[in-house]
Amino acid sequence: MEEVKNKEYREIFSKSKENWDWFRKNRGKLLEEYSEQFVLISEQRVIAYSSDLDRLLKMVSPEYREKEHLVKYLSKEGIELVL
Amino acid sequence: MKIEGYFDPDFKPPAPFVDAIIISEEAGVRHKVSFLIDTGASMTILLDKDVKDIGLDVGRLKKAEKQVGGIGGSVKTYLVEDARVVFESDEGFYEQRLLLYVGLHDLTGANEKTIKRVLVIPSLLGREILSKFDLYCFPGKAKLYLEYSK
Repeated sequence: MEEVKNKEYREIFSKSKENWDWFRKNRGKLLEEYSEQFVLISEQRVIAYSSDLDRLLKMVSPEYREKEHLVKYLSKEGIELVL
Repeated sequence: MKIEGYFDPDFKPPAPFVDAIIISEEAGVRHKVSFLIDTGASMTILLDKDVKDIGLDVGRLKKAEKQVGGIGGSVKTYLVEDARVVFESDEGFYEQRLLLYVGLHDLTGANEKTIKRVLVIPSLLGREILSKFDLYCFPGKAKLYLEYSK
């Protein structure tokens, strides 16, 4: 049981890292193409993009929503936060 | 035991994050979430963008008695009472139970700019978890980790 659980966790973290590494590598290009938009990345590619997060999530099939994915908001200006 | 984090370059300046899997049978959730490490937050809270992305139905959750403030205004707050958080460490997986807060801003009638400003706010990893760790943060070296402190 513990092994099954660990295998599942390992897969989630590993897929997540793959998406993140791909995003980092391609961030410059993605910023040029999708600035001020939300993008959904899965299997090391952009699956969908939109300036509206709700619309983006509706555009993506349940298959991709269930798979490990990364949703990023891209902005050339950078996101400034004071919480 | 060390848990590695990272700096997200989309924030200005780059912001400290750590990934975790959030699990709850009650909420039907088993998803990876990227948390902003927020030593100013009392508790860990899932916010709008992740709530939407995960497809979390807050109708299944209990409303929190206390409302949470200070996250770009007041938010409607819910509780996931059976939540677990899982981190990947250099010694395997670290799993902990937590009372997970879920915060949703009321965006009714808000303009596009306001909606975007809210939806870029990440979920926050608060002190109820962070207090179990020593936080090592080296922005100049782009290195960040949490080390379990007994």
